[in-house]
Amino acid sequence: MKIYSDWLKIDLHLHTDLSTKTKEGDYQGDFSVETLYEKLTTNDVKIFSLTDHNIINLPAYEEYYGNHTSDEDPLLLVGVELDIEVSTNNGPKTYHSLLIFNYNTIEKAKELSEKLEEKYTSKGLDDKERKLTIEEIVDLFPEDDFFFIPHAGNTKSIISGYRENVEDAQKMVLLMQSAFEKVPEKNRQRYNEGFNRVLHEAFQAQDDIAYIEFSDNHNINQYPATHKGGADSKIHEFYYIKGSKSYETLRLAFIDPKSRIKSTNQYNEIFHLNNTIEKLKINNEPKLQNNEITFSPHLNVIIGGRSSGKSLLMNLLGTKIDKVSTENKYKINNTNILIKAKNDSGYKTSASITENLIYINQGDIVHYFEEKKLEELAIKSGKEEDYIANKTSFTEHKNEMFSILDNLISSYEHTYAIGKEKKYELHRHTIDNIFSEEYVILFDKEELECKFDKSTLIQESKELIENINKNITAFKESEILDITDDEINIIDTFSKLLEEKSLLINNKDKNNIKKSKFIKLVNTKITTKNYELSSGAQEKSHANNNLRQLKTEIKERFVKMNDLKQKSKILENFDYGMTKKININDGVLLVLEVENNEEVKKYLLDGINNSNLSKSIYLNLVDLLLEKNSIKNLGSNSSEKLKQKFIKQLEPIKNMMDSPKDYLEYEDGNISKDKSPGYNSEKYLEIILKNDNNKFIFIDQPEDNLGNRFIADTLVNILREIKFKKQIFLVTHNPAVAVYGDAECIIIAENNENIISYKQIVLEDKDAQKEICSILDGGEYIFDNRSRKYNIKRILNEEG
Amino acid sequence: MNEEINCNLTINEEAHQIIISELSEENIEIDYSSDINFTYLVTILTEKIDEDKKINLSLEEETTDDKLKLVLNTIKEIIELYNDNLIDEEI
Repeated sequence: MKIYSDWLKIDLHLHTDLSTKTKEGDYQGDFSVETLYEKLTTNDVKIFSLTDHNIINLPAYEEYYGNHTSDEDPLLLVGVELDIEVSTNNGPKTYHSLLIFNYNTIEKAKELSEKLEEKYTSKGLDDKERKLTIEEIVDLFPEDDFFFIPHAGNTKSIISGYRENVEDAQKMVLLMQSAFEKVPEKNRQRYNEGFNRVLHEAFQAQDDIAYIEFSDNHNINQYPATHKGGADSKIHEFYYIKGSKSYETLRLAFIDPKSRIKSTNQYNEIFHLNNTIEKLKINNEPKLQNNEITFSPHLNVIIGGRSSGKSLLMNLLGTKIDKVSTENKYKINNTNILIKAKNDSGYKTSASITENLIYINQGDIVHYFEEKKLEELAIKSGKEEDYIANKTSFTEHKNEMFSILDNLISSYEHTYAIGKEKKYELHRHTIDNIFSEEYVILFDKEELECKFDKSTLIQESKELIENINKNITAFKESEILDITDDEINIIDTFSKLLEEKSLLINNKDKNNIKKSKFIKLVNTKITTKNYELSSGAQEKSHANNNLRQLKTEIKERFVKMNDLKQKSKILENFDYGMTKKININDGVLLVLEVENNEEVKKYLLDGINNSNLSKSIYLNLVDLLLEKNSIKNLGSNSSEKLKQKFIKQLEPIKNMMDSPKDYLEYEDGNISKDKSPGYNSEKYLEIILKNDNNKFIFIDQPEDNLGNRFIADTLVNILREIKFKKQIFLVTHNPAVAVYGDAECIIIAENNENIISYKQIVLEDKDAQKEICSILDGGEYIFDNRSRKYNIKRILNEEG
Repeated sequence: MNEEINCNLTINEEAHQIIISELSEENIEIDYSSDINFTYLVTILTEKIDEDKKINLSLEEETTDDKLKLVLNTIKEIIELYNDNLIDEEI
């Protein structure tokens, strides 16, 4: 048995053949209660009314109440369709309205019928001329509880009666807590705008004017055809209301139509949920009373006093769903506790849920911000991959910085190896020898080697061709690229070109070796020749070699120092700051950030004694090389020590890049790091609830750390918006969540002498409403507010 | 290596210059008034390796000048090194 507010088909506008007594030819065919019952049950209608024109068909009511008394039978509420007269400047106008009474007994039907018949008799009206004014109706049924459901479409519409002062009609409908019938969907928005004009600002644009359609059937044999089932009829598309078979269900539906009234199309839309948790069966657990809990596919709320077992039930559900990783906090032996998901054939020890699911324990939300665990937020928002990818960018950026440092250290090592004592000098006799009258043979081997050595280029070209060949093979063998024969030809042509280029490069390689060898041979030859010259010439040759050697060493030093300068500059200019943004939901961004508040140079030079921050890293390193200053605490200026020191100096940056700051950036420009955990909890909750990918939501006391205004204005609206798209389970102390959220299933946890039990109630049950008030702080206030949602008091004051 | 390059060497004793023609577009001039620099000649020869042609150098003039003799012998030996280097690589 379902113990939650479920959807029921309703049809409060059916005629019997007695309508022909008050309206000429108003019914088609025979009417019988048997046929009516058969048609209603076949179409699964749960609540209905027989609403003849200005008359109550007592024999039909009597037969139905006499024969159909089971709880499974459709509920018949006493009703009638009245002609209501309004005086206008153009004479009297008549409109039709259903009156549906809070009665379902033959005695009450008779009582109402007698009142009507007496009134018509006292007015001296023929059967077919019956009509009453609204004032007469109010006088006729002063103590009776009824709904006033006027026609507001094209024919016999309340609008035509009140065209000169539509506001009167609007206020009347609001006051009588009712609904409109026969308003085409395209006109409803226009009607709502009209109501907004008479409502207090706080109650405007709430989308809570009730519109509903009934069959208005005048031929039961053709049911559910509209009207008389003839050529101008169509098959009625039923409306559904949420609740149980009671008059109170109607009241709640008319108060809160957005949550409680659905057309067939709307109903079909909300029942596309793939999977839901249907039931939990508790058996033979000493701490828990045996029970079977049936959950709504929409909003399930668990309430109860302190230590009543609310969170225990949430925890139990968590331990029974394989996708949830939660510990059995209450040490319940749950082997005898079974669960059933919609997709499971029966009860199981664990429900298999494949859809995305959010499970949040009490206090978790605020901890995400207090403990800075926004990674979990990203994961629960379905952005885990984006989060990881962006975190990886920071790691890559960090690796880039250390790679630049490695290059710098390597360059420093090369210059350090030269040694600070290295002297560059030419002696007098060397200079004299260079300028002596003796002759020598000159040959600049280095110049030629520099000019002709192409070995690096050749090696690169060989690797390039090799790589292209490998890629071509993979390209040709790809299964997904659908390479055609023509394309194979193109590839083969290209491969031939590569073969030719490969031969060319091999030839160049061969020649390159020859050239290198030739230069070396010539150099040896000339050296030998110079040795054959006079001793003076040999000294000159030697002096020339010394000069050349000096030039080479100086050049080498400049090259190395320039390299050190360039590498230093790259590190000095490295911006380790980085920002990455992940779109979490509806303009809310999760930002990962490393701020560049202190330049790399500052970090590095802090590791050098007597360093000068106004000078570049390079110049400070030159001072290190010349031992004008020293690396702090390491006793040497060697490249190993420098590397050791600089790695340590960059550790704060490394740590920042390993754990970039994360915060939320909201669409209003606010960022979470400037806001309180409470504010952020609200934003967070909004994000995960609105995520369409999450098909199940479990939250233990979401209201923790949330402002009351947020709960009433935002959280409740979100719950109402999403509860038909996903199944929600909430433990709460806040009555607004249950009542304004219009929870379909309310589970009350109770603890009697350490035995915990669970009871299910529904909002449309008046006794249950009292129970909710007794359990939840502020419950009465919430119910009171809800009943005054139409600002009835203000309108009455104005009328008075 | 099918073709050969035939070039000529002449000496201008007044100018103290050795001139090698037909080896490149322009004549190669080697000054032997002071130090003798072979860098340019070897540069041209190294470039010629790509052509894979043997070089025949005609040297008709005789000299008694020791310095000039040294220079001419060195040129001949460099050309030999060049030709041998081509052959070696072929093997």
